[in-house]
Amino acid sequence: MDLFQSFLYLMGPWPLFLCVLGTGLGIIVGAIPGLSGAMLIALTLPLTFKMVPEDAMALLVSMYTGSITGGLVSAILLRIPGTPSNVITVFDGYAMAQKGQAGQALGLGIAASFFGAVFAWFALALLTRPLADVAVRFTPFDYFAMVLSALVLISSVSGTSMVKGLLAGMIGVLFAFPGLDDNTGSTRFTFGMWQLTSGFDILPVLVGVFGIGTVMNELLRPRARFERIAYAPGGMWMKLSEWKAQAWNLIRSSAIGTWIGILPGIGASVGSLVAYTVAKNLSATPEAFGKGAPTGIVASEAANNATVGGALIPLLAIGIPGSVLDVFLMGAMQIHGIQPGPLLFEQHASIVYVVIAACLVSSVLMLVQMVLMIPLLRRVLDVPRQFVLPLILVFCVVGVFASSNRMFDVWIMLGFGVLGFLMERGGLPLGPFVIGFILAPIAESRLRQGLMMTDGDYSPLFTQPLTLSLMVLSALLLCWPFVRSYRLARR
Amino acid sequence: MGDREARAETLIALLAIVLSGFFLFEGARLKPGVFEPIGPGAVPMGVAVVTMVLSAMVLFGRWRSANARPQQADVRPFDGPAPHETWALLLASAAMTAVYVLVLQSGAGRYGYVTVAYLLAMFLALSDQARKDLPWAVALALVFGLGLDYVFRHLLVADLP
Repeated sequence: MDLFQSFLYLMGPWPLFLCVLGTGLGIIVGAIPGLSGAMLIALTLPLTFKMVPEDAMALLVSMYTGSITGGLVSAILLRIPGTPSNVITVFDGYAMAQKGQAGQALGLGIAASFFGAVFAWFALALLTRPLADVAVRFTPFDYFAMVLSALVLISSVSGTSMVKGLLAGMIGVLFAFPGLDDNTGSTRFTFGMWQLTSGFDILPVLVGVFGIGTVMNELLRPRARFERIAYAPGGMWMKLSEWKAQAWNLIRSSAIGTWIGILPGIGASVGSLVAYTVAKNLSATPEAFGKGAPTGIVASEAANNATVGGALIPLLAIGIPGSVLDVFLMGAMQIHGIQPGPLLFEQHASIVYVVIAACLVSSVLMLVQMVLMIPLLRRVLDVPRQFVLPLILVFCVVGVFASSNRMFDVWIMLGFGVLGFLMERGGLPLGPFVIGFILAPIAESRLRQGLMMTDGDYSPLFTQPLTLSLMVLSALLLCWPFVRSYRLARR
Repeated sequence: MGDREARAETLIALLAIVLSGFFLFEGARLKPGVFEPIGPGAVPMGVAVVTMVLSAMVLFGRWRSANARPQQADVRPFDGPAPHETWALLLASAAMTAVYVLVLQSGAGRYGYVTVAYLLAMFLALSDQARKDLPWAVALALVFGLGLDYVFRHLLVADLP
């Protein structure tokens, strides 16, 4: 199946229904503060077991696209970002809404999201195959250095403290070690439990950290109510001349979002922050930002949606997830027996092309559904939490049990839920944790494989060009906070 | 950072040290590989050492900030005033969930019925107007409890506890 055939496949009744459903659910969950696309995808994973992989990926990619966009509704109307990727939209979106321009702010956000998603789709369609062809020649040391830099990169941009980000990542790495060691065939770190012979399954860990952990945080304030801003429908459509004024901002922010998406491990929230900062710095009226500047909304939303397509590039071409949400897609592929990476084009080309096609189809559906669903979304925000939270818990339990038929995994999920809850309370970001958990086996096996090839010689880590540059990048990222604080102290 | 957040941070750092200690201890007992230079314990032990160092840095940072200045109020940029937190409700929900999983594990009741009872109890526990919400709670508990039972058993043909 090539790209064109994949589009035709997705136009079939069942795949198209899954795309519509996935995008719609993603938008709704993204719009509800406290719930996230990661949680939705984690809860949906068990339901995809019975699907063919192409349908499963179409559904999950659609959820991914929808969830990134849905958060802009609550960001603009409630001043609460539905997802972390919409934090920056709050600054100008809510300010515009306060001036009675909520409709215009929503229109700007939706259209910019669509443009960013389509821009990144072209990068996804054009760059993935060439990158995969290059990645086939990567050495085991290159892969090790790539995982290391991904971990350092996400730790450096997640949360407020790099040390905490790194600690979260290392805890995730530690939990990836228990189980069978592929190189020696022996078991290790099983805590004396035979159930851990195959290690911690992906699903209980992801559902626990993102599902149970989130619900526990929300249970602390189950009756919280949000102040809502008055919103009159209409005024969503801007004139062509107003769009022309935003053209350069749209292209620049989409390019930034795509590039940040490609960088391993970091996703939409950083993309929107960087695009917003650049737009503000280049603006003739930077003082207007934060007070209802349309340029700010366009920059933030174009960039965060562009990261979706961008982040899929390293996942499909190299097997390194470009964002936390891509970890879930990687987990879904692994559950279906598919290993993302350079050989994906050779072994499962249909999956790659369906993912790429679904990215565009879901972007178009997102545009249509966002426009149609705005009135519904405003009602969804009213659904009492006391009904939503227990239902999520029930879905977590039944989903994880059904995936393995073991109650042990349900207890593991609850344990990781408590860990995720404590980490969030303590300010340790969850992104590095899941990236560390999912990438550690790759890093370890590639390092050991490389050392076997060189008979224990570590020098390729510092002599091979790509490995060396990635190691230097990691070192610079690690040193930067200390250099910065030293410079600040000297001033 | 508030008191509770600081305690959670300290707790996680201490847990990480204990976990790292376990990996160091177990890693040292693993036999080295025959055909490979570093064996199965080397990388986990290296990661455990790094984790311990990072945990110590977090604990030191916490100790330093606790001594440096008085605790500041927790600032929440989007929520306005910090919402009231209901720890009793969280603990009660956690206990009910643990009992729910235990009952499912013991096989004492059919999945659908146990789930209906759990959902009903949770809905009413979390509601601030239990009497008013009762009809909705009963309806939703029945629909989702029995519905999930049907979907997983008959449509997805999956085993349920």
